[in-house]
Amino acid sequence: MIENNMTNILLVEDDEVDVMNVQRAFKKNNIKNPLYIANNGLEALVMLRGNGNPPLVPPEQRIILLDLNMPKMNGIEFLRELRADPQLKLIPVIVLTTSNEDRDKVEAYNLNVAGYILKPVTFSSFVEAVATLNKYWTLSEIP
Amino acid sequence: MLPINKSDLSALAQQTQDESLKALQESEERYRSLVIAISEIVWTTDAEGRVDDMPSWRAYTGQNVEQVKGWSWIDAVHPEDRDRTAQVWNYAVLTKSPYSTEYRIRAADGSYRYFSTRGVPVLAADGSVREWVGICTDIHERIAAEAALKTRAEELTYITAVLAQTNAVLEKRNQELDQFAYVASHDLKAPLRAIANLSEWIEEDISDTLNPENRHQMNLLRGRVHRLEALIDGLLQYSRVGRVAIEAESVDVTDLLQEVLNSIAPPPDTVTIEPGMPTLITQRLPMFQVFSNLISNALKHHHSSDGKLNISVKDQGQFYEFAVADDGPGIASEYHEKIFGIFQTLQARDKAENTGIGLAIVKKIVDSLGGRIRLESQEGQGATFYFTWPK
Repeated sequence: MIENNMTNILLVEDDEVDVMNVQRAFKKNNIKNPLYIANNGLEALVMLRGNGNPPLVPPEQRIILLDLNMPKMNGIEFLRELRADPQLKLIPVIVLTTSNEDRDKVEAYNLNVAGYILKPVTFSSFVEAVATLNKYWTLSEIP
Repeated sequence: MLPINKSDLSALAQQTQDESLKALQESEERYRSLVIAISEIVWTTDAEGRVDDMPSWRAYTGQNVEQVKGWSWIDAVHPEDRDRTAQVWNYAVLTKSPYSTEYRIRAADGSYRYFSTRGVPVLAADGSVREWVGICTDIHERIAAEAALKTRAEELTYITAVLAQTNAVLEKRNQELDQFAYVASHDLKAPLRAIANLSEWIEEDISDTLNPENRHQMNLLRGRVHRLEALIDGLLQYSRVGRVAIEAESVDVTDLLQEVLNSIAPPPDTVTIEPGMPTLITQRLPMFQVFSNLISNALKHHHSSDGKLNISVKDQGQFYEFAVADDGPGIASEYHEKIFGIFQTLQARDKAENTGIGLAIVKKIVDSLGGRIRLESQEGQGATFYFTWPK
């Protein structure tokens, strides 16, 4: 197992407190991976593509944590765009959402997400969930 | 042998003739009386269907002899029925077949009533028709009853259609409400979680500078957040009762009670289940909720840690009556109605964290299935909740 601290994590989330949730959970778990934040799908795409400039998120070893309910471009729409783009379609996506609707789950898995996690109610459970995710992207080889 | 003289012979002949005539008269009288007894109107026509006179018909319609002669009698038939009547009568006369139809006859006072008329040809010895005879019977009551029935049937169809439509509207309303309740609870809880998290982080980040009073306030804050969350969940649960259609299945109440106790996990030997628990076809989840709420209530409000609970059942024909009895602090009779209200608690929320919705949900479930719930209790003397459940 190669110790890999360089997985770049892009969090796509519009709620400020939910962003803080992730940041603090990272801190609690002593996770030092670079964490990039986009507030909606459009912003996320720009950060991944660069549009002429080098992309804000380094082009290798990228993982996306995706919220589903966002303004302008929601999670599912973003996912479609991602999978349609040959440069971006490889990126593993883990959905982090409050939505327990079957409809959303099916749609997400139709677009090949690597996981679908319901945001836990308490912060401490969230910390545990993030610890598990950390093990995953530390262990898993990502192109 | 004595000679029979001429006068004796003619006297005998006369006597025979007289006796025959009398017999004929009696026969005719009997026949007339019989006919009058069984019908309103009798009539005769010649072989070609023409009327000479119909006294019985005339007595009813008020027409005079000229007005019934030949075919004129048809004037007393209702204008709408005349064509059909003429057609049928002509056909019968032509084909020498029995005549049967219905039409309205105008009485002497001008009113119309429905009559059923039947006629048969009287055949001579050589098979030709000598005359027609017939009767008309009043069937007006029957026709009126049939018409009333038809109207009722049409009304029924209309009302059924309205009912079906109302049902559809209600279904839609229910779905909307359910959707609303889900969305409301879901969207209301999101900022709630954020408040809980933020207060935790603030407390963590400034823990060095936090004095005990502020720390206590932070705890109160978080307590209120959890309370709000519980209230929202309770409300959502309450709104769901009776609306989500659940399939009926075979439920062994002993098994179900075991499940309930497994999920509540009271201390051992606390709960006694009396024998005789039935197995019945019913909705499992609502029954689970009722027992679960009653049992956890009893345990939660008990004043000592070794309280005892007893669950029993009585067969009452169309219902079972279940009883959940405890030896806890009991409930004063002035509160027996109140406790079933939404969000009603008997203790201040700061003393015992309690949404006050458990019993409201129980009552709603029991009511929606056609049962009833009641409480027998006195302060200091435990409480028994009785509820009936349809078979």
